[in-house]
Amino acid sequence: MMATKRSDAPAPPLQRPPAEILHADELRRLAAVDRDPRPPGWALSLKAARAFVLGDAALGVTRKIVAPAAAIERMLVTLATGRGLMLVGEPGTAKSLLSELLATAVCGVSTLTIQGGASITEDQIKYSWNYALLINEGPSPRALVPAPLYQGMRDGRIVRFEEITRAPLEVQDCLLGMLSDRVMAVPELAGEHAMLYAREGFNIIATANTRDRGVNEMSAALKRRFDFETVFPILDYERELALVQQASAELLARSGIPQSVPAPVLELLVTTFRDLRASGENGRRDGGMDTLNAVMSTAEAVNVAHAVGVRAWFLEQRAGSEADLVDCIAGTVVKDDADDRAKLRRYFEQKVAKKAGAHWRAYFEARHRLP
Amino acid sequence: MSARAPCIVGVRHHSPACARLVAARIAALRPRYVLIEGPADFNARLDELFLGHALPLAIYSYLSGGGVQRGSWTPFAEHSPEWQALTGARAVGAQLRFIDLPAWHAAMDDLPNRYADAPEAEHEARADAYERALGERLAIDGRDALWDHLFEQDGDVDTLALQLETHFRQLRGDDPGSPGNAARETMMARWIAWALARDDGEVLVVCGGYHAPALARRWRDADVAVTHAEPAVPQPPVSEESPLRHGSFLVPYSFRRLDAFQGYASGMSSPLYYQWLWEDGCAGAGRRLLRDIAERLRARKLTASTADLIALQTHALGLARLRGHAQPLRADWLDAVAATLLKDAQEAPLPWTYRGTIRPGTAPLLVEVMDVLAGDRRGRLAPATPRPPLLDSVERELAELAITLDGQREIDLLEPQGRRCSRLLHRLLLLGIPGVTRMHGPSLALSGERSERWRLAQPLEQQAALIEAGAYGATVADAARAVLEEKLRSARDDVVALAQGLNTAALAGLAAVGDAVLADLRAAIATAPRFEALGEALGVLYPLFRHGELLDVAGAPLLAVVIEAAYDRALWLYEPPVAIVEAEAFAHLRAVIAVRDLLRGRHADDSEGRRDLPLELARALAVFARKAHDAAAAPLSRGAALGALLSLPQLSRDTGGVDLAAAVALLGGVSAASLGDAVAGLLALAREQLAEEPAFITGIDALVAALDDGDFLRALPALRGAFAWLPARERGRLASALLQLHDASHLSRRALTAPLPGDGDALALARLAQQERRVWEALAHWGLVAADGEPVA
Repeated sequence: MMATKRSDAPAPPLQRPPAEILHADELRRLAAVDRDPRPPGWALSLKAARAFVLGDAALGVTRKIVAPAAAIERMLVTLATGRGLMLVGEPGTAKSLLSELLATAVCGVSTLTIQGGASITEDQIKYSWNYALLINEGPSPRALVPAPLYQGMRDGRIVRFEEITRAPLEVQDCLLGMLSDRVMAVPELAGEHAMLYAREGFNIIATANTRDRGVNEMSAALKRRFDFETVFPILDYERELALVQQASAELLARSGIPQSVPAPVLELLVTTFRDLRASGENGRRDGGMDTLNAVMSTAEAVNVAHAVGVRAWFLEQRAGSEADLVDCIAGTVVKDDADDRAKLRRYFEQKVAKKAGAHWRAYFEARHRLP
Repeated sequence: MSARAPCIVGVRHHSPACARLVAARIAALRPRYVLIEGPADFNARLDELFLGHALPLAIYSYLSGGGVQRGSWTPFAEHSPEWQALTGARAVGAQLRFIDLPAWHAAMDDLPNRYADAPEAEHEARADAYERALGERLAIDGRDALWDHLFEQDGDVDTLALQLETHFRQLRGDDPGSPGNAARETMMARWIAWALARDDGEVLVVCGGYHAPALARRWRDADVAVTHAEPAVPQPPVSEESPLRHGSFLVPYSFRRLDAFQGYASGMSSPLYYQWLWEDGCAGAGRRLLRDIAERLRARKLTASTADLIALQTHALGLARLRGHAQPLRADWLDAVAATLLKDAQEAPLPWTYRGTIRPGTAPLLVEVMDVLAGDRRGRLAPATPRPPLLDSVERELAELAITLDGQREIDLLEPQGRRCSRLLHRLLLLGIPGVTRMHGPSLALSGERSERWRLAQPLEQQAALIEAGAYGATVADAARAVLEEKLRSARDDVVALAQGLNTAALAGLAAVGDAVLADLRAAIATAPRFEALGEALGVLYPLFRHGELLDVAGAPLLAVVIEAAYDRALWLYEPPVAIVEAEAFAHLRAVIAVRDLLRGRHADDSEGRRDLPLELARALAVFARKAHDAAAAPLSRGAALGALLSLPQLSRDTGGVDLAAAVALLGGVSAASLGDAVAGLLALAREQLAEEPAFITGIDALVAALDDGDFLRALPALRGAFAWLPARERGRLASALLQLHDASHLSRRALTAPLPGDGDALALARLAQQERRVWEALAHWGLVAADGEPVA
């Protein structure tokens, strides 16, 4: 009874569809017109893959990420030349999104994902066993339960390894053989199944964030097998502002709020974030700010903008103000780090005090709301 | 009027592709006239360019006198289109002319390099927008990568000419340009009209791409009068009272100065790479690049294994294919270096993605690679070249002051003549001319010392050094200023070095530098890491600014900018509570004193109505007030902050009032061990207000009296240090006050201030006294003596 009822009703939409489902149309369009040579095992040519990530107005393909074209090209060429790709950067710089998009562009699948963590083991990376079958018929290909790396090698796909530096060193090192010899030994099986040779198209995209540096430093041997690409926060002020504006407006609309955050408040928000991560114009560190321990990413800025809108609307049915911004920055960014609190306070007392403009004044006047 | 139209080749300066185009056009057209954007006042001496120099070289043009100092370079490398136009024209026997305004002309103001990329700011914005849109469309970031992609590939010159023309037309549009550029274009158009009017052969014009579309229109214009005589080259205004000197000379140049990363963020960076491109084409340049990078990285012990190089080349080829280049271009190679050789997260963006000097935090490997591509080639002038004007200037100035470069010379700095001598010698010292050495003299420009001793000689290498220095400017002052600017820039975030540089500037009487340098200085100071260093710098700079009349640096905008930035940064660094190590304590207090003196000076300025140093006082006072109340701050720092407020009564009145009670309260609140530190902070800043104030003396006396023996010992060293801030006389008066307080005024104050008997170390004595007391206590405890020290019966 319950079962039939469930199948009758339309399934609720996916909360977050993966890129290959979300952008299935675009992928199809790109593949249809793609005449350029494809690297072996790739679903698209390099040019089409670049268009998928950076957008192509003529084909109606949207831009999916704000990143320098040259960086995307480097990443694609790295993958095409068969070297592993390592994306490093501060948290919240859209490394995971980037790796998802690249995997989708290259092989059409972004879900062969290994999530690095302290408790991860080799089983979760390579393969494990269906113990019922194993006991019943002994080790056999049927009893083997492939993990993402096994699947990626078998089918010639991209495997994503998220937060690789959070995995213990010895677990990281199990990748060495796969990356250089492109073969995985399965000693439990005999004959042709004892060795799994990777198909064309197999590669690894790993991500690591620089805040976790030193938790599990990578071995030099493993580093050698990856090409490193640093993902920076968005260097261009206008672009970051536009992105925050657009993303926060979407979030607010989804929360059912008719007001978006006013432009001057967003300007304060983005400038504050950029000052506090000490990236001045074009990433030049000339503000002389001490960086906060808290993550000051664009993603976090979007969250703060969202919080400002939510707070102003649900509490008082108005658009967000400078004072709301101070509250939200204090609450969501600084959290309970005393050191950050002091730095933020100093930022207001000394830097905000110097800026010109009515919104900056209002912002400064609201500083007493800081914790 | 002739029916003929000129062949106008718009170029990007220092672009090998444009050089190729110019050479091909001259060879094909065999023009009668070749007109080049260059200083027209050099036309009479064009032959000097063909004496057989080693490139790169530059025409240095200058104008000085009457309070105006202007200098401008017109640099040439072998791969410059202008150079190819010069040599090509020679080869086909064409008439050669430079057709632009002379460098001293007001239209060339603020343009230290004639062949810079952007002729004016408004155009820069426009070009930027166009290039951005184009880059977005082609998925290319950055002007250099875009330029290389569009034009620097091996290919057919006719297509290239067409593409260049379209590109430059799009960049310029119908923009009439600034008045300065309009004046330059009128001048150039006149020359074109002149050459056409002669009607005896083809006319080829080589000019910056920015000017090309305008010139194509303007040579027909009515305001460009057609004359049969050569257009007149403007002469600088002649004035009786301040004669102007001007001229143009050949000077040796270097690839490093051509490199946009080093110079004024203009022109094409990586000159050596483009030289390769000119000599060998894309493939050849790539081979040389790979070889030189590998050699350099290995020489510097940076990783570059054979496997790395294979990966690098594969990657570059892959990028070239993806980007549609037949051979990898500069950006492809550099991107491949970044992708394959870097093995860590980067802190700074990749150097070829922005313009200007390489940012701090850039990976050493990338710095080396950029340096390889810049190259270290230096030009050398042929022996017969007329000497750069600097040599004459040096000789003349030395003769004027009757200085012979021989033996030792004592200079009295109190004499105006002595100061002029000193200034000249300091300028030569800045230029690094061998044979000029200062043996003895004040290290600070404003110190009390009044004499200097110099050793002067004429070693063999002096002439060569002077010719080389000639590239910096035509007069000693100009050249020294250019060198100073370089030094200030290279001091980067070392504030003390910066202050020393400015001190040198004061000694050499150089009070002004270029705007770009000022901006760099401001940025460097904004990231200075140490409060103490900033304090030291302020302590040197503010007196120069306020009292440097004799040195001609009083009120200099250069100093104002630096002081303002240092003040800002010092406040920023002073505020957070950090522990102060003992070795830094003195420097820390000196720094607070420097900031306080600055405030005091600024306040005095206000009352005198001077406005040349825009500092906000309220912010500093607020910082001091917060610091004084911050329980987490180091006691030394807190004491100093409170002391600063106390010593500025006229200012701190509005900030909620501080008084002696606050000082005593502060002292009461700190631990015994840091009592001395807090007192030191207070006395260092406000001894005039505190040292003779009975309430303060009583308060501190009560605090000390309340310490138990252990605490007293802990507090003693710092307390002794604190009272060292009082001069002997004040210490004596304090002693009297203390004696009075304890009803011991019959004793001489010497009883308290005299050195301890013998080699008496106060701390050792206090320790011994404490030990003795412990012994007595132990004895009493075991009943061996009575509590009052009498033996037990």
